[in-house]
Amino acid sequence: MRLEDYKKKDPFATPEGYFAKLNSNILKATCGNSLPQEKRKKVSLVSRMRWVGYAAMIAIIATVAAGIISVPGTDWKKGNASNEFTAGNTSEYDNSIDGEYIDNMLESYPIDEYTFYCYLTDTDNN
Amino acid sequence: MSREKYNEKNIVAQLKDESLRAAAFSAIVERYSEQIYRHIRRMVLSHEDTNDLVQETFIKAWTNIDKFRGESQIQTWLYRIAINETLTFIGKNRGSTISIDTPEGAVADKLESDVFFNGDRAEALFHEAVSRLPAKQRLTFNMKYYEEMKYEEMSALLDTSVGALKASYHIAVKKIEEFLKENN
Repeated sequence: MRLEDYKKKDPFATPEGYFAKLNSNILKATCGNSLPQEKRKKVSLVSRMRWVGYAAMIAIIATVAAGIISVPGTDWKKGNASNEFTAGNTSEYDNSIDGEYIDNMLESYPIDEYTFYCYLTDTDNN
Repeated sequence: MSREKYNEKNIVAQLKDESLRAAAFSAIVERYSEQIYRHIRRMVLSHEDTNDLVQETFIKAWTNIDKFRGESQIQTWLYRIAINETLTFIGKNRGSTISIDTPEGAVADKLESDVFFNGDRAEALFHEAVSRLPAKQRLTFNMKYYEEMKYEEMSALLDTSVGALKASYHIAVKKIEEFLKENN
């Protein structure tokens, strides 16, 4: 009996899908701690962005709500029905003035836009 | 990373970069795990033992990845680890594996009853004959006969001279033929 008479075969079998599972197990046991970290970073970034989004949304809602509440005549808390806009109370509203309010003011008062801007920013319009 | 895209030079460079190391190692596992499995399986015969040894091989490779300087091929480096792991395993389990006292045909019987062995009786006897060789001679025989490795490559891997390997292979072939003659 000579070795050349034998057909070179590999009779050793493996379970179905074995090598994919083996590779997965090896990676889990080795660089698995590194690979998911990269994934975790991505997830964490997305998560952070989502929270930034939530925070921005809350800030917008708060700003709009504060704007509505602080507009003279809509101060429900104080029950102030005044529609008057005076220099004396601008500082109270400086942070809550919105575009619509400015437009309303411009329509109500016979001043041009630039003069009104100067008034709001305390600059000389001369 | 697919096999087509595997590039040894790039992989070696990526292994040195900590941020790319995991991806490079993943590509190495994908490329070599089956080859390493086949190599170990021919040595230890059992699928379960092979499964453990392949995983141990890659875990060792990952643990010692800093020591890989790219002076040898990744395949050579993995083979060295696999060979060390396998020879250590065989050494530790000498009592429970085949010995000179094991009745002839016992290993073939065991192989034939193994659900992960697809060969016939002749093939089972052939693998019994190989498994009866001393571990290092079995290694030499498998690498030459199945993997068709050049003696020079084997010499670099096993730190043995080409002449000694040729002699070892020649003796292994004679032993296998003799066993098959007696048991067929």
